[in-house]
Amino acid sequence: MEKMKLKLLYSDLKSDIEVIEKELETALNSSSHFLNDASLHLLKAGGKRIRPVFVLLSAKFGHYDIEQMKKVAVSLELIHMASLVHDDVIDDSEMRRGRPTVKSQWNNRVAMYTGDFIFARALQYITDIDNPKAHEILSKTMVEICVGEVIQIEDKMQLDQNIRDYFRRIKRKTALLIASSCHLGAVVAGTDDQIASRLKRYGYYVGMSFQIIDDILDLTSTDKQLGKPAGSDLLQGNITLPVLLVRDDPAIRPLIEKALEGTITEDERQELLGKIRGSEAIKKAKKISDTYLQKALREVDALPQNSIKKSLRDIALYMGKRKF
Amino acid sequence: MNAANIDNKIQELQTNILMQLHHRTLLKYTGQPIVENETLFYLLLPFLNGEKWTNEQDEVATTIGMIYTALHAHDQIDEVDATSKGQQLTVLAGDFYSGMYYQMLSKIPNIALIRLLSGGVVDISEKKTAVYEPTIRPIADWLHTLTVIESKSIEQFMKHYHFDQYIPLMQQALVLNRLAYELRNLQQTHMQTRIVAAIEKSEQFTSTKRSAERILEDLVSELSSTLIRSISTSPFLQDEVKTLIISRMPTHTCEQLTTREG
Repeated sequence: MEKMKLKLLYSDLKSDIEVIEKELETALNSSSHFLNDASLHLLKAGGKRIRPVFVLLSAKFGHYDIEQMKKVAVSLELIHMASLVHDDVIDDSEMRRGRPTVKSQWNNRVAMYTGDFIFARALQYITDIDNPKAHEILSKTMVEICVGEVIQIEDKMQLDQNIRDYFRRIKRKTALLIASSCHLGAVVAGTDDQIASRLKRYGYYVGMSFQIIDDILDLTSTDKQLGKPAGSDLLQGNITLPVLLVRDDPAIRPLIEKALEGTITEDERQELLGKIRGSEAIKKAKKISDTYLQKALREVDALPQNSIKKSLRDIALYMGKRKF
Repeated sequence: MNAANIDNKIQELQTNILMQLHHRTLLKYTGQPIVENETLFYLLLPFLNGEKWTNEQDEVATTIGMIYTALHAHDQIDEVDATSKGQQLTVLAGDFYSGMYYQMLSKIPNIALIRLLSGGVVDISEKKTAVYEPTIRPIADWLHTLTVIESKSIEQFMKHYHFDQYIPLMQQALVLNRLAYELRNLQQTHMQTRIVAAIEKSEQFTSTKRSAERILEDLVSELSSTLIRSISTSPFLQDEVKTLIISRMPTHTCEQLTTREG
């Protein structure tokens, strides 16, 4: 339902998104039966294809050529897919988007090779773009994302971390790839530097807002809505913004510590979720997300007149205001 | 080039690779990235044999070493349980090393080479998953699989810089090394890796039913003879390099075991 709502926001791109969907299928084609099955499995699981959408929308500010842009869009989506396959190994996840993960259907090693295969395919695709700057942007992004994930593992269980650590982490975890999607779309379409930088900043702010909302929803949604226990981030040791904002409350901190130690009971988990939901932390976190959202909207306002601006604005609002 | 100079050159390449891949946290939890000495020796073989060598080739050789290091990191992931901090960070280490090789080639910039080498990684990943497929294949297929896994990126490097004449020798040597490793591993641990199990199953194509150990011994012996023949019939190889290759053959060396798969 939510995915459909999002698709309506970029209905003008429908035919181009279909081109990308087909290209993703071609890209994941392999001579290995295992890799074919694993890749098909990933494609069927779908996804919002939000990175390709940002590439295409940003490219509309320059010389838009779908044959060129699909290479960038497919690469970014493949990199995202590869990182999900590897993340499922790190998080020991059995399910993703309601389907068994590659690691649970086969094993961790097959998941590693599947991710490596997809990642290499992404590089094959992007090299059809003969623009050194594009490669500089993408390679730097990939390294930064990895560094972000390393930091995330380092920061796990660290309840007394700085809030700045959280922002640094979500920047690398989520905002960077969205910012780079916008930036690459603009650069490859040959927009001027000012527009490209503005679109990059737009992507960054949308990404930050999106991730904060994601972290809020992990605590405020039901188990059924999430398809996993609410509060899973905390149970896995990931300290998110709402938790950082309530950690000093003496009525809540002991429960947070129990969740991190893995000794929390089901009743205590419900009690913890109830207390966090009733605290000011959720409101404060939403306000911070909204600040990023407003910054994103200001970047859109400053872009040259173009019918695409409405889509950029609507998508930002959708991502920053979504309820689930 | 004498033996000491050759060792220095390999050492220099190894240091370059480790410098490029340095990351404090990864180093702390996953240890020094594994850069295999034999891989570097055969990667540098044309240079060691006196071929003209440029700074760009040095840089690209570094990125090839980084690719092997990245892929090797992911070979260390346990099939069933990767939940320890060390394993989680090893997953990320492999991804980080891959990102670094892409970044290095982007900076040169050599986009054609990125395309070529990433195509090689596609082939290697496909071959690494082949051992998980239930299909029974003849031994020749498995030897080809090992050839791709062990040597594809070096083959691409050699083709790209027109060092084609070194390719067969390099491939024979690296597959021989791998089989010798598998044999030692089997003898020491009495555990079959996936590739050894697959090779043993491929005996169904032959009338003789040999044990995995016997098959590996025979393959190592056959490949050693082939390699020695190739060395003696390679007029372009300097005598000193010929001696070095022979001295590095598995029967003469005893490397430290590290986990390998695929």
